[in-house]
Amino acid sequence: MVVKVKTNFFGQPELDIENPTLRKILLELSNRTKFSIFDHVNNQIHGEFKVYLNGVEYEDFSYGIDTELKEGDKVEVTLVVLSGG
Amino acid sequence: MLSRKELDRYYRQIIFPDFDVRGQEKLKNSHILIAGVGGLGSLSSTYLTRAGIGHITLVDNDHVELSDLNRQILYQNENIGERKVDSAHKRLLGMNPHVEITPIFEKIRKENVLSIVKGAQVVVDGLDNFETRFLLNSICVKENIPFIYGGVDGLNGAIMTIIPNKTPCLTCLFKNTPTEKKDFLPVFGFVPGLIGSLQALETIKLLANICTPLAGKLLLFDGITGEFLLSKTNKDNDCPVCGKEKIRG
Repeated sequence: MVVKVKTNFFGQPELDIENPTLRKILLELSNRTKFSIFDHVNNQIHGEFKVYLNGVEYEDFSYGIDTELKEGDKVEVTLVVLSGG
Repeated sequence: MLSRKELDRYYRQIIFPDFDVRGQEKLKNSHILIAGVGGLGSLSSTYLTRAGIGHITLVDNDHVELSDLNRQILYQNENIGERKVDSAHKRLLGMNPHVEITPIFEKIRKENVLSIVKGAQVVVDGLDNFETRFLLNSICVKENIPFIYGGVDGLNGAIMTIIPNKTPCLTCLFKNTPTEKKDFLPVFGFVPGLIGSLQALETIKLLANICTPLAGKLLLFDGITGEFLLSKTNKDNDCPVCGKEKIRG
């Protein structure tokens, strides 16, 4: 299934993933950008990124990062403004 | 006109192709604002002073604290408790007496932001919070002043050069992102060191009109993987700061 992911730092890549979940999406996006979006050690998304599924933050879903995606789902991965100086 | 001493001081950059004496004179005739002299501002102000920018205004309302010294390289133990702009002023003049430094000990607010940016040809972001960044972004768009965004968090850093009415602004890119306030962000000194140095590079490119600035491009650094990501950004026509409606209105 092809999932179009909206980002504010890497355009809107189309990811072709079998039985996609949010975790698989983030892993593929990490591979493409070479950025550590997902923290494997702590099994969580790095604080500089927010992940939304159909406008709802991923943590609000029962299966969280392992939520399965359906045709037409809208995934958004957003870099928050880095505000330290 | 550059003096003999200035020609000697800047010799290693004057011999850079396409820069030469004319580039150096452009820097000498320039006035920039560095908003915040913390981790980012320490680096950008150091390199821009050493590079020979004619007039640098520094604005900051903080005092030097012990916990600043891991990254804010303008300051030393004996500066703890001093106003940052005063310590920075003294330190920078010691690096290069040909540069005029104007220190402003104030918090940037809606009421004073216009008078602070007035006359600057470039505004360099050295702030430590998102509210003032968005305020500066907004006034720079309005006053048509290039704004060089820089930000850090942990081992990550970001930089983008905003050219008003040509490139996306900070709000175009981040208007829908959460901006929760944190009192203390983790940071190692080399991350603002890297981003502040790149901001100095961007400033010189703009002032001397050389090379290609990061206009409309967001450069991200991920210190965990050691990777850089250069991303083209898109202007948001509905942006409340620089969108079509705003420009028409």
